[in-house]
Amino acid sequence: MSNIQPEVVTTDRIVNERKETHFHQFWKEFRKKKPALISLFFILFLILIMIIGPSVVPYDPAKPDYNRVLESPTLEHFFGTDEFGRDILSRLAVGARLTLSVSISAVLLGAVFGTILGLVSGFFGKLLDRSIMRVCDVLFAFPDLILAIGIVAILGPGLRNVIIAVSFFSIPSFARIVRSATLETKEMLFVEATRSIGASNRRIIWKHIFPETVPTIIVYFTMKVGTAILAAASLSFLGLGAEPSSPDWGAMLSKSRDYIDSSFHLVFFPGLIIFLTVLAFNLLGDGLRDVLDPKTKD
Amino acid sequence: MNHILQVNNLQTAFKTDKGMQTVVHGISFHVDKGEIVGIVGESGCGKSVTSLSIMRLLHDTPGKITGGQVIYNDHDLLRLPESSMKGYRGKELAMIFQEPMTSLNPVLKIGKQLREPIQLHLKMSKADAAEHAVKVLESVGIPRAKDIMEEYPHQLSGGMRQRVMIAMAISCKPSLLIADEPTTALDVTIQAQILSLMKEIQKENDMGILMITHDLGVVAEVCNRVIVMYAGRVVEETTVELLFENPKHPYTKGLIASVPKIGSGSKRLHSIPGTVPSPTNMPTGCKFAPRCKDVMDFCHTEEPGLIEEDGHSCRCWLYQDQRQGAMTE
Repeated sequence: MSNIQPEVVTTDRIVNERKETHFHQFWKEFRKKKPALISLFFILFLILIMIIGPSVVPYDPAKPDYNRVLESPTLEHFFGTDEFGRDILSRLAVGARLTLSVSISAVLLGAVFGTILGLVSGFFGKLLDRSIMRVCDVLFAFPDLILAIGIVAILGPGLRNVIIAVSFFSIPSFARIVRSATLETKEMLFVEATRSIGASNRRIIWKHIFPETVPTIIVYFTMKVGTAILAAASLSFLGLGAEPSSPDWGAMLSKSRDYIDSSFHLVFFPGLIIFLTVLAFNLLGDGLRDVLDPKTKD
Repeated sequence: MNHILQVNNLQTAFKTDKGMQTVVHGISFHVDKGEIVGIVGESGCGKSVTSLSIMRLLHDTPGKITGGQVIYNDHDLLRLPESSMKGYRGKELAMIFQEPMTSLNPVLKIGKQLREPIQLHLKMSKADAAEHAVKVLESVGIPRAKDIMEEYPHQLSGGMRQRVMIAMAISCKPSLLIADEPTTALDVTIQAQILSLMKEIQKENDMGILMITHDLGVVAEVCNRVIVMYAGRVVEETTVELLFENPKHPYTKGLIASVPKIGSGSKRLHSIPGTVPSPTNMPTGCKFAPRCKDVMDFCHTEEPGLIEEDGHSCRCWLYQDQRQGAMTE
């Protein structure tokens, strides 16, 4: 009897170790990608600012202070003040919520529609596939920003329409990558095996093919957020997005370009933060791809 | 008669650049309750296509059923709409595939995949289905079944995965199990275990099994009756005992002679010369004539019919005169 007890313990331990492997393995690999890791922390920091930003900023981002107009960075105002004497650091912190929520929701919307189209297109094939892909090709033919400007021009300026425009141009790219992942998965034997137990098409797509495409979608989503931030900022810069007076990063950049000669910091800090954020999302995407995509693994 | 499955004159064709090519030419056979029927033949003779046709799983291939009937319990499966066919797959007819390595979804836990047919067909709640799944896993001889439910396919060995596949196939107590080379990808000791497990399960549930294989050893081990296929046709059909004692068709004789025998010295292994003719380039007469050692002149011009004699059918001119064959065709 005495030698049965230890054996049970060992099996339990093995099972526990196995349960952890999935996330652990991912983390162990990901930890080695230093740029991606730093980017992840930067993005987490931005998200934190997004949530708590408005309640911790030292100055009211909307309140003008005409005694301190266009002040260069000082200890009181780390990033200086703008033409109305508003604290730029506070404005950027509050603007994070605006800029990030616009771009993330736009990409999310694009990812949802693109994924559905890609799954359907790849799974059913034939005429449906061909027509969806040709429509995507047409959308691909336009440069992203031109397409977005066109859509905003039709729908009218405003943040809601920026979201629609940016999501619209991310749909075809998501549709295409999800389609190719679907085509690959569809041929696997387990899809046939699942059909042989009587599963419907909808079930096969949703429960068996979709999970297989998730890593690809995560990677692409991260990279696309960078593009979307840039696009949203560009639209705001052109006056098609956020209200010029709002602390949106693109709008801040746009308003401050008149002062580029006299007060460089006005342009520099919004530009820097856009640059760093886009870079962070791209580096994170690269790192995730290296870890999640089996094809790039050695 | 208690045939659970009766296949009549099944024809399946594949779409190619040169038009439709028939790969299964009017195959007929039946499987009785509690019987294991083997389909033997070399690669490309249409065994797997036959099994996929019965399950109507040609969906993802360029294949199409062009004629015949597949009668299961008085229903012609080929005439059912796809929506009712779904109710048969997994519930009435289940299938085990050749490669246990790829037949399970690598990103889903075993438990989730096992629960799928149970929840689908037996309309059980998640918890009941999980309990049922553990019972089935235990019945196929998997130790620590509860833990396995929480594991992923890559954590299991090939033999274990094939057991899981068998568990999944029998979880809804189908009356017919189609096993498409279930042991080909496994090593020999595991093969023996899986085969004896299948025999055991078949006795317990009184199922019919259609065992598709190219391995005559497997046939001798488990089957009651054997169908030998060549180039999309049945060339011989009889009981296992008769087949091994008295093979009639030259092709069957060749197959049996190709099996290595212990104690036969260092002689070279027998092999049948040539390969299966491609569907685009079929000989006009008997399809086996170009490779046959007993070939006669008119074998090349006319195809023999499948003639039954004392429960032993054979498609060969050696056992029938030309006129009789021509009449039955």
